Amino acid sequence: MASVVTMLEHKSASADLAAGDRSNLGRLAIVVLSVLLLIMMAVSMTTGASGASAWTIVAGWFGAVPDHAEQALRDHAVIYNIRLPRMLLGVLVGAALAVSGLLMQGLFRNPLADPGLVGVSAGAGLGAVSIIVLGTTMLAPVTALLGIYTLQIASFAGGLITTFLLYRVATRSGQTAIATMLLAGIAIAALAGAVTGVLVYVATDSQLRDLTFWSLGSLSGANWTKMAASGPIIIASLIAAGFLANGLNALTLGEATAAHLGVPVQRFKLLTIVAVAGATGASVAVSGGIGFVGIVVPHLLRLIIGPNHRYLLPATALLGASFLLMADAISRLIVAPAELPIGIITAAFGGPFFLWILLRKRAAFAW
Amino acid sequence: MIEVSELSVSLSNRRILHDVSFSAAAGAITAVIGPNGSGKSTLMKAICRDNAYTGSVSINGRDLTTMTPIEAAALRAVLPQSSSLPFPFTVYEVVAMGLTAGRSGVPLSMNKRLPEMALAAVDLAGFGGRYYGEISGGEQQRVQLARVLCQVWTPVLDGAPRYLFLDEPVSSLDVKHQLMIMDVAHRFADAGGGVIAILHDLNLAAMYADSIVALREGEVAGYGTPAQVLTDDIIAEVFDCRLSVGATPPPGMPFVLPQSAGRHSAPAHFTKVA
Repeated sequence: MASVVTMLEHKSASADLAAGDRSNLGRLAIVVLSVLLLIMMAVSMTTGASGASAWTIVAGWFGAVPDHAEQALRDHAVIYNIRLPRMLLGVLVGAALAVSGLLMQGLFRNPLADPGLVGVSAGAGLGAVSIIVLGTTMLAPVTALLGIYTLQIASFAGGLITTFLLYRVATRSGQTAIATMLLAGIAIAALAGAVTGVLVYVATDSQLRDLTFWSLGSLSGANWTKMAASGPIIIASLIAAGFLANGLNALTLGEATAAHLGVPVQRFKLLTIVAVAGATGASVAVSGGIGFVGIVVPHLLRLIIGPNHRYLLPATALLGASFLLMADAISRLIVAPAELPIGIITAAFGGPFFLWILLRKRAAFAW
Repeated sequence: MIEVSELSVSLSNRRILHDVSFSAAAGAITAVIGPNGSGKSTLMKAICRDNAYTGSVSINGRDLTTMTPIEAAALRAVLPQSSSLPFPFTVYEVVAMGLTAGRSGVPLSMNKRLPEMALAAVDLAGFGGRYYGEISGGEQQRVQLARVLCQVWTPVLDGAPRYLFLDEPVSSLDVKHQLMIMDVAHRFADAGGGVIAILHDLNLAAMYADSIVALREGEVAGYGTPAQVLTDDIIAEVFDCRLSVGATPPPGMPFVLPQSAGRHSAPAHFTKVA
């Protein structure tokens, strides 16, 4: 009896699919990607330069007595103070970067928009560099006022300003020209890069060390302080993004039609831009410029479950987190005990992927 | 009832519409006709609140400017001239976007089936699984109409009539589907809803409209029943060309035939090369 019910359900699910309703596929993807994320989280906790084993800790919870107490204490420190914040930050940053890409693609009605490609990350980076270099002199009052959140809020502001600027330049009466958007992004990134360059030029030696460390794009500096500063901003942005799914679907029909469908378009766009700037800014502040996550992840998922943002949004957050944890694990293992900056890994995946998108869509874009 | 009164629109200091007044009753089809550039689409944009305007527009007695987007979406659905999508949505998913405002008027449990019913209404049953970008332009236009129908599936909700705004709904359709789409609009009106449609085909307007608004250079040049508006004088003035209006055998519906000025009377724009 039960198997008949399962069969019927299965049949109705595939009938839905044939009728163009991919919501069951979307739900299935979310379940599968949740499991994948749990696996990647476990992998992240159990791999690293030190031989520390997360399993001894888990065994400890269940009352197993470790063989070497001293070793167990050191493992405990490695797991709780280094790997756990790094893993959690990886989850949040991965989700934030992927969702930022998805939101921008929806906002610009354009599958090539991504915070890294169109200058938003560069703007956020400029905000961060300003604080690193000028935080103790010119911007000291700001640092005093904002405390541990200074770097994050400066990145957020930088991201916000560049997103607004880009939107104003590249969008006319609700239509974004692809070429204008990408070229405006290059111009904005160049401008942000020039100002960043000036700041780097005037930086002191110790500031330069901070800058280099930060600009490589890495999760290696992860600790609980950074987690406390960036975590809430990223989580708030992701929660806000969750409310945008229906509006993003409607917006694909154009701004006028979205309004006719009942979306308060101006407020919706503002919320989207703030969510992008929040997620990108807080990520860039803590991990530097990690590129391509926002373009690879949503694009791949659109091919599998379709562009319905109700399922695409959570799936993108989940796969983005897994993707970054995987890249982080590779970056730690490939040249162990040293580490490659994670940005190199994501670019090595993302660059060819981006070219593949362009080749596939060359006819459609026609420019 | 939709009441448009003394509506004027200026875009970049150019007057597009001037003092346009008419009303579109529930239970009726109101056709807007006029030559290219006469302000038909601007009128449609104004009553959708896409453009700024002076004067007033009210739906069921309530001024348009006092409504939130979601309130307006519950009262009227708008069919644009054409829509392209940047992402690979299926036809079903596009039609289901009509449910964004959540005021289709059917019980929630039926919402899942509504896109299929709407597709059947526009003769696209079984098209749900196709990709929107891969069907023909005429089919896309009908898919958009199905989406619009989903938004206001019940022509009357909570005692208030609802409206379809159709901007050239049949412009890229074959004759069978032109009639079919106009029949859908007709049934919507028969069930108590209202329809405002921009039409280029004067005979379709004559056949289906209960009242006609004729626009010329942004002003109302004729307003009334088809028999009142589709006369030799008004039509010749509005379209600035020779047309001949006749009447079909009973029930005496007007029809409009274009009259060619003759093959040889036009000035020679082209140079013949021997």
